[in-house]
Amino acid sequence: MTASPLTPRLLSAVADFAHALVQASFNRALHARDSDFVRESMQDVVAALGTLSSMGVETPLRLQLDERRIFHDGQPLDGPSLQAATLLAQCAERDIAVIAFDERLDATELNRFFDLLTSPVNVEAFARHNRAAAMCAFDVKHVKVTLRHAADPGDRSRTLGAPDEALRRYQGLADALQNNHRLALHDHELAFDAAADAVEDSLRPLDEPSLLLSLSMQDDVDRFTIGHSVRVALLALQVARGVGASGDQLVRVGAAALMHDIGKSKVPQEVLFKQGRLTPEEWQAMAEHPRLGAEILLQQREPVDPQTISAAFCHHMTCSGGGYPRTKTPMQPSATSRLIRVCDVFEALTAVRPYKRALTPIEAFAVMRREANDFDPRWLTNAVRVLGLIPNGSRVQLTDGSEGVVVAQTRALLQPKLRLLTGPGGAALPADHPGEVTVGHPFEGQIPMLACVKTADRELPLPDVDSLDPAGNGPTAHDACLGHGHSRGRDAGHVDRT
Amino acid sequence: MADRRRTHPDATPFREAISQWQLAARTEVKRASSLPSSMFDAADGMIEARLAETVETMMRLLQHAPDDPNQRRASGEHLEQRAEQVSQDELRAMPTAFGEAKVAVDLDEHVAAEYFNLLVEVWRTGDAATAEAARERLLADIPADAAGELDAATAVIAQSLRGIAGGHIDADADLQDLERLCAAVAAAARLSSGRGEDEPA
Repeated sequence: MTASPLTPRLLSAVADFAHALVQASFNRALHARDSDFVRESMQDVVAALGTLSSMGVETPLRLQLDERRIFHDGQPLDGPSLQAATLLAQCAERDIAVIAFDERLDATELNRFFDLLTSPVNVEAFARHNRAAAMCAFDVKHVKVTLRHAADPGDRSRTLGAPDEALRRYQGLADALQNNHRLALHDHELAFDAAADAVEDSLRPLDEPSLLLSLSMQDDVDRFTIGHSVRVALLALQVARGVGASGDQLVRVGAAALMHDIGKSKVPQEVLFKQGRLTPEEWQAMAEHPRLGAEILLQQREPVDPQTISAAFCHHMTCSGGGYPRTKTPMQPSATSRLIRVCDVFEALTAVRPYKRALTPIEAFAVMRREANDFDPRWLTNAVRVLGLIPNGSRVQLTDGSEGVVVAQTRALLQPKLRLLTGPGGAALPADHPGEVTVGHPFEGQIPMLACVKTADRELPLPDVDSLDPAGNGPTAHDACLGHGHSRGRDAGHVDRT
Repeated sequence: MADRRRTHPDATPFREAISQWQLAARTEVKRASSLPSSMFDAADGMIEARLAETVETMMRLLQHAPDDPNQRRASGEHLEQRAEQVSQDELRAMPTAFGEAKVAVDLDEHVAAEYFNLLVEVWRTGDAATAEAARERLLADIPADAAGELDAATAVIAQSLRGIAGGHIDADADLQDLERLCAAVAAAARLSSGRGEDEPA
């Protein structure tokens, strides 16, 4: 019944299913197996499977796994793979190469499958190739696993997604953070050093430095704060590195950014995961997370770096003294906390949330510029200059109808360097075409200009560069922070639930 | 509003109906297209996807939309999709607004003061265990001579305030509050005198 290969829409639905599965795996590690929360996440997986079935995707649905990724039909599902370290490790330990999900699977049985994945006894059973007996012992009938040695070569990954090294580092950050959230929830001593090590690891040079950051642009449906915090950390590292921070400073900034939302592990889950508007009481509970985070970090037996504690406490404070938490002692956020605030809000604005669409980076910076009093103008400028208004990896269309991907920034913010994917009107590029152009620079008798930025769900028309107002238009972030500009006077609550 | 599902007990289940509609739409589009079927998916899978989504949206509206939009708003069940609007004028202003070069920022700027104030804040307002942790960190992280100065300043302020208050401060709790307040005043004074900003925390 299924089309082969899957259409983008169906592949996206498979990715949604894999996301739900990864989330369920994470929740099993975090909560009691019979808790409402675990039960709900199991139901989410079953519902996603039902959706796939109703869309005509053939079941059993087979997901292939290697050490780093989840695949379907040879296509890497990079989004869910980013968060899947726990699930992938459990499966690798048992030598599982393929998991097939039958549409008759229910939430209770899926929970039993996770019993099997989390039970150390079954590692031995799988090692003896007694998987059938193990599955039978746990009464799992509608999930089938294939061990690595028995897997059909066709089930191996055929295409490459994100390069291994970048993916491994991203997963290292996510894994360290997940573990710390779990420890904080259960009032255990945090593994702060592991978080700092993961940050240090992420800083080692990559062949293609923008890869790690491009991974952070992956959409995810992370219902916790893991993906958000990892992305904030990567953004903060990129901006700090862009202004020449030392290696030691980078590790401290990265660890502080990674852990900035650790207090959310103590916010009631019904508030944290609520998909509608929060009531005033719920907002109050949510607004406690900076204070809770600082308290968690302060109570560690092994002292945590002061910058991390302060950033957890101050990342919702504005540079003009607003925001939250309200304190009795006058507070002035440090440069590190202000940087994390800029990255925190930027990430929230550019992420898809259940209650809002994602803004493109240029829109997000424009929204932040409106509220310039809330942000350190130096960091806002640095973020724009380092990341770009149209960051690397953005898909764009030129005025002649050609399409391309941004590969490098130039001094002119709306004139990045592009790798062309198609010629005018979607035509194939000539064989002798160099493939790369710089917007605004003459090329083959034409001056290519940006027409729009394309995202998964829309196209954002860009202003004509020719008509740019050289004198500026309205107050700058600097003006506003110095009191010369106008501000709409946003309350801290305006910003997304970052 | 009556539940339409209940009025049609023999109706096709919702998901199945959507699936059938999607299939029908897909078939219709492929039939109407001049592209060979094998090329259709590869060439323009998005048309199919968009059509299927449209059908699904229509089905959902038929199935769930209340007659009165206000009723829907009041139910609070729907998700409020917020969409920030950014005008073309704002976008046009961006290159100029952020036209200047990167600005040097010292990442350690205000770190010591921020941390010190945070510890004082938590000491003053946290529960017993957290306040104690903050006190310990204050003692451990603030250099001994500075802590000594701070204690001395706190004692002087506390003594002065007790003198002003006369016999109005009796209870232990009040005295503790007073001492905390004095410590905060001393800390603020110490910071405003310029010391502490550059000290390693």
